[in-house]
Amino acid sequence: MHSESSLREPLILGHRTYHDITVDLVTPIEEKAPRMWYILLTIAAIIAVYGVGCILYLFSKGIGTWGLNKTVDWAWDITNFVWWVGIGHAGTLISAVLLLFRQKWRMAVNRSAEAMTIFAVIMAAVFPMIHMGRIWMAYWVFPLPNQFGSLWVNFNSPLLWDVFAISTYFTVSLVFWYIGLIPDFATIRDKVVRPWQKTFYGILSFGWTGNAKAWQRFEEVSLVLAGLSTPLVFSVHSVVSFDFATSVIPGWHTTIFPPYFVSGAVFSGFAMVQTLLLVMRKTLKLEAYVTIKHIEYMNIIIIVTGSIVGVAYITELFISWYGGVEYESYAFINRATGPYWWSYAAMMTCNVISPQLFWVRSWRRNLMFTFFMSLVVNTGMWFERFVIIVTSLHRDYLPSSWTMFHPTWVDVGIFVGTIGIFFTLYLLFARFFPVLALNELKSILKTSGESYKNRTAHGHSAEHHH
Amino acid sequence: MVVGIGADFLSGWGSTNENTWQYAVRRNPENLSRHWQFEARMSLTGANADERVMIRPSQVPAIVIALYDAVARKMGGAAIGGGAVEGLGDRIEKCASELVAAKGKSVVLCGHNDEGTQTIVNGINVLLGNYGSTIDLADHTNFFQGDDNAVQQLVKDMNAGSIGALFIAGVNPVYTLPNGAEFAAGLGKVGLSVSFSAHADETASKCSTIFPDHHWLESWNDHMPKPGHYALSQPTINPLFNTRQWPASLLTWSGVTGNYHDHVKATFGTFADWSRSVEEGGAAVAKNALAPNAAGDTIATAVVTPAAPAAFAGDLAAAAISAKKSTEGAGAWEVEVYTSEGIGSGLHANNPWLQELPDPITKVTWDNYVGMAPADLLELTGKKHVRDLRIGEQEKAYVVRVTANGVTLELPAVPVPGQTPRTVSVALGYGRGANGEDVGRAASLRDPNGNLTVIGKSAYPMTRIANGTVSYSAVNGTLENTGARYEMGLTQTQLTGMDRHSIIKETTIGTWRAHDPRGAKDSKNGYNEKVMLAVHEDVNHDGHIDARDKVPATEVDLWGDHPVEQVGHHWGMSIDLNACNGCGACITACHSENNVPVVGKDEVRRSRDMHWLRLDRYYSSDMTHEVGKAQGMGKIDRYLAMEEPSASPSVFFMPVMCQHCDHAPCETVCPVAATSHSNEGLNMMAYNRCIGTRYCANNCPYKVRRFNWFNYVTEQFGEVNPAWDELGRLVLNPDVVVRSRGVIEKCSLCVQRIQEVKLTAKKAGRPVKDGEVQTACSTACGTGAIVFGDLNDANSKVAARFKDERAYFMLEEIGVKPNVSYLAKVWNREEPPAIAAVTEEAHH
Repeated sequence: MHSESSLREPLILGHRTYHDITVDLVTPIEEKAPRMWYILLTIAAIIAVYGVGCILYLFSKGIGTWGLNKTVDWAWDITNFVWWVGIGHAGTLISAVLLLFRQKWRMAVNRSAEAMTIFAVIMAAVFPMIHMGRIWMAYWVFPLPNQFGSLWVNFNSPLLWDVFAISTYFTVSLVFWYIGLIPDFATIRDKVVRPWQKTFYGILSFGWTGNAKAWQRFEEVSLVLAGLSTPLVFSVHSVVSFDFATSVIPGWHTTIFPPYFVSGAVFSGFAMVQTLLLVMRKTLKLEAYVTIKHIEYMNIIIIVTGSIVGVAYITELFISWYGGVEYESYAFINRATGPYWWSYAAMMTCNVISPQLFWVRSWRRNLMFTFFMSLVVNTGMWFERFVIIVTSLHRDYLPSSWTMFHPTWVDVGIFVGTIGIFFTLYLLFARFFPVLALNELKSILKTSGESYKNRTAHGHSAEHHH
Repeated sequence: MVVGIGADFLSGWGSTNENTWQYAVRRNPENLSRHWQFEARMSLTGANADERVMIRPSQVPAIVIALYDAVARKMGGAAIGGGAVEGLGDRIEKCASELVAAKGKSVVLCGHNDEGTQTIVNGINVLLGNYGSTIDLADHTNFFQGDDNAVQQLVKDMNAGSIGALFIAGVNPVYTLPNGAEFAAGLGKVGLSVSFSAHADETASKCSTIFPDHHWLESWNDHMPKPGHYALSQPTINPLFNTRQWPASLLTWSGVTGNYHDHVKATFGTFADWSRSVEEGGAAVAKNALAPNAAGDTIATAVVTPAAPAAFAGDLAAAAISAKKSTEGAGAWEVEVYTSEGIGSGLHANNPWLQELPDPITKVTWDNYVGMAPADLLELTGKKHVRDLRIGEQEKAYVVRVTANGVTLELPAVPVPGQTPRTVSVALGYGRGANGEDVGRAASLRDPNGNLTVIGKSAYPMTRIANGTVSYSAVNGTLENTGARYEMGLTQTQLTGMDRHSIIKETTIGTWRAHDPRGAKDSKNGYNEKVMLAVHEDVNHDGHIDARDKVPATEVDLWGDHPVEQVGHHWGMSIDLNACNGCGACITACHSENNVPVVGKDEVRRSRDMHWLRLDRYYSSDMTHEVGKAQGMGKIDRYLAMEEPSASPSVFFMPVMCQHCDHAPCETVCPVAATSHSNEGLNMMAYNRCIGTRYCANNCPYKVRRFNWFNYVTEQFGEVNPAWDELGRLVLNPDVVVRSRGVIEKCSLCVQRIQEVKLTAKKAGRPVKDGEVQTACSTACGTGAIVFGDLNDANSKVAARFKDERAYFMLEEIGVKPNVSYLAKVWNREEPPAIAAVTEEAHH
């Protein structure tokens, strides 16, 4: 058995046994849901239904119900798309990259982060679908055999690369998430007593027996999937950035985009994990598993990625001046000082300045402050995408075509609606699925549990004294 | 040399189609005329002038007198005196000197109807010896032969009850007369009043009887627009409704036997072979063949003017007194009413194509407005910068109250750089059907509550009778801010060109003559330099690689060439910006040829006009990078200052449609390959394949792609879209598909016409001839600015244009290789162009 330096802060607080972990995480699923859960679900569901209504209205009337125009042909739709995809980056980063780097603290956050990833990617996928003028022809983006000639897709188009990148990412993330869930479903199956729950979790657990061979295969598959997912963490947002980087539009046509987008995605993903985890930690009483140290680790990632994003912003500005291209120079001056200066200011404040506050140790360990900052970061990241998309388009090459973009209630309704759908899915997840990887947590209990580290655990101190 | 004094001769004054052509042929830099324009409103004509002087309408008589005196002094003649004009500096003297230098090769035109003023203008032209050279009395137009005095007498007689019967055809006096209300009152006292109008319009609705006339496309007719031009028009469709051509009615009522067709046939057959004319659409006849043969016919009276120049016998002194009287009593504000480019007199205000045709200067659609000097509007609103007066989209215009000639109009104010301060201009032709008369479906718009609202307001009551003619200016106006705001639909809201030299290329005749624009290495003083790109290769062979190693940006290419050179056809278009005067006829031609949807004011306001072809208009700014750098201004301040137009700007027009790039950025980004390149150099759209991601529209550097935001054809904006119902659908071109919701559309270079000509040539077993394929825009262009043809045909006109030293591609440096090129604009000016053409060297 590994032993861990006593200098490292424990990852599981207090005295917990294997059984305690099972009880702590399965009891909320077994018992009646608290009133708060019903209230939150109702609110989220109402917003979700409104969002779906807006989408149906969009389908019935046309894209004209949005505020787009002849110059700004993408705005909130693709902003929301990139925003959600970005948020969907934390889960896989935590489960794959941190697994490969053997970061044990990931075990307390990976499950909910992966769930968030899945739901965020679903929300992201909504937008490229509904932004199509003729969504009923959406299947044409797949290279399917057909009788139209036969017509093939255009492999030059970054939008097509998106289709492959997002669908691959979604599939791998979903499989990874589900495989991680199987042993936990089995634990639930074994604990619950209601027949329907037994059946339900029995089906979900795919007949998991928990024997050594199964665990060995589980570990191997996890490692293989982590190996597969790691490049995806970097490829998905790189490909999304190609939508812009390969274009001719000043402000989009930028080679810096792939790393800049990826770090921004991780940045916003971790912020969303913080938002969700802090609430869940409180309501499901998971303070023993999601510790201040976990929060601090994630805040450190937010500082690092936020700083990379900041450097990218400044590099862009520098190059727009250094490159000496009239149109690019104007594009960036216009971003900062033109009619959309406020969105640029919001982006700079939220994404570059505010994460730097986490250099103060007590602040990055403060839960309320972290929660507030997580909202600030995701606001900033939404504005980043808005700035890139709208301010580049609204004043590009020909001044004759310059115009402004004004969102309609349908734009707002669909965006807010996706947040509603996202939270609805997340609340259902938190109610019916184990929110922490309980079996994985058990694997670190004896190395990183507080009572084991300070040798107060029952019958444990003797083991460590030879 | 042309001097226009308040005469918008390219749009609304005189025989504009003829003027446009005659003007354009002398705007070629090889043979460039000089054009001075004195005017209050920035007219289309003024926008094309080399020298434009801002005046007040009340100053016109004084300017005409002063110009006469200046010319007379220089030529040793007697002056009239009394023509002092304040605030114009040496402009009149300078203009007179140039006129004298160009005597016999000049013409002075004045737009004021006043007889005294026109007498003095004639005097100037006589002094300059222009009669017999630039003015040919024998070659006059037969339009505008109305008699304002006679009409006024008629109104008096009607009201006196002395008119027994009145037949009204082709005019709408209740709407267009200064005293239309009086005319309407008089109609009530006429025993029998008959209107031949197709609609129960302002006048017809007050007549006792309406006999609806055929539409002209349902009619036989003959025309003599000017001596020696005798034209036949044939119906293209059977009458759709139960109507009768009005001359046929007159023939019937006078007891003449035979129908109108026989009548036209009998007359026309006197001059030309009838069958051949009907088959070919007309016949060429010798000029002098018309007059003698037409004896006894009504036409004879139209062909009377002898060619000999009449001796000038005007009493200049009396004329001067009378002229000055016409604009007496000038107050704080002067108002000028005018006929706009699209709507004109208002006769076709129910034509949605024309309502959606943006004004060539202000780019306003679906409204008339008060054109104001930006400085005045800033003062009125307390704003600081012209850019703060931006209107259109979500920015509402300020509504002002203009009172003149006892008439008050509340209309939105639009800042028009070049409008003389303390003068305003209002377009005629709007406010049709204001009292619920039937003037056609598209003459009203549906407001957000679904109610039909009248478009604009009629400014006809502001006209007046002065010295026996209709005067289109009021000198005693007042103006105030009502505090109300009003939404407007503009197709372009940005005012200036932002000193962007790879879009706007213009120069002066001196620079054009002195420099080899494309060739010379040190082309700092040229006007059409290639944009250079530093490469990592020792291209200048100086032994090392540094920033001096540059090649033209067009020579750097990531892609292989399309196999269009020297294989089959390679279609291309060239647009001569010297010939183009910005009128916008091409926009409407394109609309009708390609079934382009009309979307109405609210969609235009949301920047969703569907125009495949648009006319970009850029006002010059006092600020350029050069000027700003010289003043030590930072870049941010420079850009802000560049958004401000000059108070008296130079105007640059540029028709822009799909540039059919050989390396089209739109083609690479479409995920389903709905837009692709033809092997004839066309950028094609497969509407049926388009799924509407709009990625192509975003990635188009020229922003020419248009998206069907709604199902414009059948679901949305039916009151403006001609394709809405069975009858309206008759305007659709059967050779072009109608696009539905959710697909992108754009200029196809009229591919249906190309295919038609190719098939005709193939059937005849011959190659396509140069000029045989004409796009809708090139057909409609009255100046020959747009030339279309095959670039692979070395002898084609378009291939020659592409080799012209003025030829350039818009945004050449981004390497998209367009198949549409432009010929840079050359002004006949001394000064450097307002927007300096000196390209900023790629720095750092």
